[in-house]
Amino acid sequence: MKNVRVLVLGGYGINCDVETGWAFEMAGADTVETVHINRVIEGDVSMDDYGIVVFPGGFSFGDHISSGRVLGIKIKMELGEKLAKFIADKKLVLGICNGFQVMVKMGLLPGGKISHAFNDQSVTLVHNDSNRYEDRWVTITKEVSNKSPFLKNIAVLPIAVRHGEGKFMANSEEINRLEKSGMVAFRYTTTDGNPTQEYPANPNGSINAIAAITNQAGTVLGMMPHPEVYISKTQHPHWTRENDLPEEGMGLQLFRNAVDYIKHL
Amino acid sequence: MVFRVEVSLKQTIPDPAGLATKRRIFTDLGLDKVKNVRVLKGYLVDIETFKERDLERTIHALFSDPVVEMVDTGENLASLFSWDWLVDVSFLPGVTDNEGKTALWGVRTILGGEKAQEDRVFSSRKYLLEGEITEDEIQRISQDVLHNTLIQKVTVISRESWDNGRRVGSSVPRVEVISQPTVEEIDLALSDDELLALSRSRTLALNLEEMKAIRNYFSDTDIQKERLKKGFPTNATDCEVEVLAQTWSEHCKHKIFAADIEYEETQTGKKESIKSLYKTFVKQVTKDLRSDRPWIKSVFHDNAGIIELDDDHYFAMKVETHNSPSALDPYGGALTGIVGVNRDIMGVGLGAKPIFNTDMFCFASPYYSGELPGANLMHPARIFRGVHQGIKDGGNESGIPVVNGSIFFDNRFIGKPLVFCGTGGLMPKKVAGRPSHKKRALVGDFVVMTGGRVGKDGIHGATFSSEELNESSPVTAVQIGDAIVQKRMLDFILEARDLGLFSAITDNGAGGLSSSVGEMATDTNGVILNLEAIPLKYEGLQPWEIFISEAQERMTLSVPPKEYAKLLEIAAIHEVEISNIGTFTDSGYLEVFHDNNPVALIGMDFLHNGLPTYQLHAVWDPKEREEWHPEGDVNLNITLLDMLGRLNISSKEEWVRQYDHEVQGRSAGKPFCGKDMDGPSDAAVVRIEPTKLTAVVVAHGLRPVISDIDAYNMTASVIDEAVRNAVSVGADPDFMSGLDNFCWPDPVYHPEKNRDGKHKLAQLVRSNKALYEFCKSYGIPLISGKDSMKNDYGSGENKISVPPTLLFTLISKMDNVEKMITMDVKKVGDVVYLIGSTLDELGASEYAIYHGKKAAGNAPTVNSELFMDSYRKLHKAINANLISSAHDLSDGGLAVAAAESAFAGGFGMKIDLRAMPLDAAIDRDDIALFSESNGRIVVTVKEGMSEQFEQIMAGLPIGRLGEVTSSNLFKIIGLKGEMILSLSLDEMKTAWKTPMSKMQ
Repeated sequence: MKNVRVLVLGGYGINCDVETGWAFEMAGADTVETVHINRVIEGDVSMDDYGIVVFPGGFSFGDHISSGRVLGIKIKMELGEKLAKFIADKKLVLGICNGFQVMVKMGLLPGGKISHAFNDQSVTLVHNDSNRYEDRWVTITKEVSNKSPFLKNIAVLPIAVRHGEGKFMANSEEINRLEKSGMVAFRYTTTDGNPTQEYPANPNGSINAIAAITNQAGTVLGMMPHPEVYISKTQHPHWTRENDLPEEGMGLQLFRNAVDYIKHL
Repeated sequence: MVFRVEVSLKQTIPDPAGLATKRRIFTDLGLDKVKNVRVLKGYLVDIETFKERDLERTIHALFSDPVVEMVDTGENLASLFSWDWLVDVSFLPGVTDNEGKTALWGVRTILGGEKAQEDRVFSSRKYLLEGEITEDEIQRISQDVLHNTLIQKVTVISRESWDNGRRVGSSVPRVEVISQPTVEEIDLALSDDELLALSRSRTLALNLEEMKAIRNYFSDTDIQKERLKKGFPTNATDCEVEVLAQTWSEHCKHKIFAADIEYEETQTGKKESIKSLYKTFVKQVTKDLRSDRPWIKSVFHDNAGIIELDDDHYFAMKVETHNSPSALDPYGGALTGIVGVNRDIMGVGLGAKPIFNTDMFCFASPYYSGELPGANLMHPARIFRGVHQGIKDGGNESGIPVVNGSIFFDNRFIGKPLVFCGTGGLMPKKVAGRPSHKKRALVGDFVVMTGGRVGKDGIHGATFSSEELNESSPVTAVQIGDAIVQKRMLDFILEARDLGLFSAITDNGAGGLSSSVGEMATDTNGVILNLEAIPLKYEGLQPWEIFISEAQERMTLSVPPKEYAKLLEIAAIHEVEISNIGTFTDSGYLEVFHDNNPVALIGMDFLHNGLPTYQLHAVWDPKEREEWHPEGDVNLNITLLDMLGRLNISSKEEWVRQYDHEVQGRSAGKPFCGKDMDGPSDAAVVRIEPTKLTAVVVAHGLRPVISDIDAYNMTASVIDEAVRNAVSVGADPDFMSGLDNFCWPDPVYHPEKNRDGKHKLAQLVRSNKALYEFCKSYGIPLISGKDSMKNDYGSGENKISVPPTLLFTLISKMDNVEKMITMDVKKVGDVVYLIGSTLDELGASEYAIYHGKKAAGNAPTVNSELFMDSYRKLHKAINANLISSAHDLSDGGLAVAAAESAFAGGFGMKIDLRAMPLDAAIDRDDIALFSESNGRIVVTVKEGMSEQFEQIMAGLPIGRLGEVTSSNLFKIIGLKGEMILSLSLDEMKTAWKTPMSKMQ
């Protein structure tokens, strides 16, 4: 079995790096390091040494111009090749919230084939229909057609969304392609698992309630909701009410899946 | 050449920003004629080396989103839409333009090449409004909704003139300053009147005694000799006068809290001399309590108080106010408020990491419909919205969750809103082998400024907030923050801290470098500074401006020379600008130079100890108190719905949800709880780490209106409110510390400008007496605090003063977070108990105000010994797992608290008032239901646990009121045994949610 080393990127207004690191530690990763993007660009830290790279949530560059845009430019220009090789090696990349926005804006998601990680931007995440940032808990449900290693043993997941620009949009052909190729990972649903366009269950008006997608190989996952803040029971807003909540935070499974996959890669 | 780039959503895509603008025009101005609004983004690229072909490379990659947007390199997009008026809003020269800065950074990343200091990108917005709007109306929309004249420039174009070819154009808002740096000498050999005139004309906010002290210092022959020897003129310089004014400002030196006060009570004839309220009451209570609380680590001398939380961590907390800036520019004022108090935590000890924010606001009603009392005042709805946006952006962008707060409304806040911003932070007990709560600058250390550049922003912030607002308040006092610049600095500082690269750190807040360096230099007794080493936003600042500017996102480090190279290296990784601007010395002087020219030389002792003490007079002569009792028959169903819909009681969820309250992953007790996650939590519970059971509890009390009766009762009440809020979630009542934030109207008597100054000072004295007395009896050491003393608008007869306000913030902890409980009822069959007696205390209650009364009736009182006994016992019951919900009784009393618990939990409730522990004289149901007596908590006890609960609470006033029911109804049996109230959960919740969402 392989040693699982996780590289959590930080800097420029990324701000969920610490708790994302905790999630991987709890999930059993051997090493979790939070590193400023510039140290990877400078070569002080080499992506090759890791099995998982994470673009955490936050407000890179203050969401100015549009969320994820400017950090995406920097990463694509200065780390694009390394990232493409990393993905070609079938290693895992996870982007959460702002990390998802970065991946989408630089064309890493939905991306091309595994040998060609980047594509022109074909989907986007724009201002919520409500035109405001909101922090609330919703339910997301895994799309069964998606075979990503991130998604094993996950079905319905209560989870926090915390964003102002999370409305997933693309033209209808692209949406079709994603759905047909099993690249949709999660949708916003009612608590019993039915996709919904209704606010606030669908918190931003995303087309076809899409909350998360992967690349075709399922090794690159981007999602608006925050699984890293449901790694312990006391993070759920109902934990003082419901005695049937699992003792373990339900978001943890996603991180454990990633760790297990790399362990056996 | 300047290039314009404009971006719009494609025509087929609805524009949420436009819809929100349309809604705002309707809610704020009542104008329903606007049919449609589109918002276009604009960028003026002003980069020397930027060429036509660079446009192609950047407009698609950087400025626009290919999936949903279209982009143009001119002003042609607007023509594609149907509209009647166009309003273009851009920043005035020198105003912080965060989006422009990011755009410049993006252009440089794409193009590479030389980076010129003068390069700029300026951002702007075009609003396209469709509808039959008159010219007057578009001016109002522009003025009251779309821009702030203090920071923004506006161009309004009608469709007709647009079609005739009129455009906004591409003139850029560059700061053009032509003045050469000079140091002006100021001859202080002036008459008293002339000294006062000088204080006024330079916004020094110094009184005659203080001006005289400065004059005497500079006329001292020994001082003059020393000055000549060091190459300084014998006259004071402009910089010296300014530095003294900043350092001696009310804002920085708290002169009123340090004053000698003669206090007298006319009714009792009692007289008392008080030497410093701060020393006598605030500091004293901590001194008295400290000996058996070894966990108090650092209080009163650093940026924030520090306590020990568990084996590994220290916790620091600070609460600040940003009232005056928020009145002028609500967004910028609140944003700089929150990021400013974050810096206090970043600069406490050797640096702590902010883990949560708190915020409390006091505004006039957002539905205020009268005349605004001053020409430069904004409508309270606009202030509310701007402040909220500032806190939201500041907290969310920094990745610091806002976990606790409140919004209080009273129309006396129309002249000055109160904006309290608090931050709690964590640090490891040791960093780089040193105890983290101690720091000391060393002789020979470099003075290192880190963070943003210096401009004219925020000049005179400290002195201007030390005066009342008026129509000529200075515009330069306005600042806009950049949370991302600060976040980068935070990442940098934490890394440098852990490597032990600095000996001391402090933030640059009010007074800028002059205050931060001036204070740090007391460690070594001197400092020498070279102002030319300070990076500027633009040329042309005068040396004194550089030194006192409150430009944001800056901190000062004291760095041993051998560590400087490493520090530079780390700063480069984080793209944080740092500069070595001087050296700490033991010369006894603050010495400042600019290109070797003498700028300031002030003795350290005079700078910090030369300030004369105020001599003030306080007279307590309360008006004859008006009795008030409700009369006649009252329909309690209607009354409770009305009460739930009162602004101060109603749900603030619409607004609070817009704050990230969960980032950093520590949240266990969130702002909302209950079945639909909308019940109002009493306090926030924040875990230290996800694998540790220790959690911090933060709660607060805020009840300004009680000061209308007596600030003594107000103070006792807010302390108790904070304690019972904390205890209600499970906090340990034997581990508490407090923070006091006073926001007072000017308490310094002046025969014309401030005739009731003596009364307001007496209120302050009484508040301090209560603060000491109740903190002592509750066992709450004060670890930090702040006061803001000039919360008035205008002067003389037309003055509007805020009610004397104390925000009391309480910090407690839980050793086992899993014992935490929330306010929502959980289960049918659970038994409802009321802890605490209800007295006839409707004075200043929401119910009294509902009936048009304020100061009439009895103010709530505090029986600290009894209350504390019940809190300790409740804590025991919580730890014994007997309690399923607890909710503190505050605004609206029992009726509101019990209703909230019921509808938050989604179950009915039936309670009987005859079981209440009640003052025998009370015979009216409405008094029992709405009295705001302190010390009361409504709890539900798990089915079958009542006996155990009653045993624990034996000897205390508790009442078994009823139980949680499976119905959808909230029912109350009155004192005469009849059903007096029956409402469905839904109608109560709707009434409670409506008022604050209406103005969204």
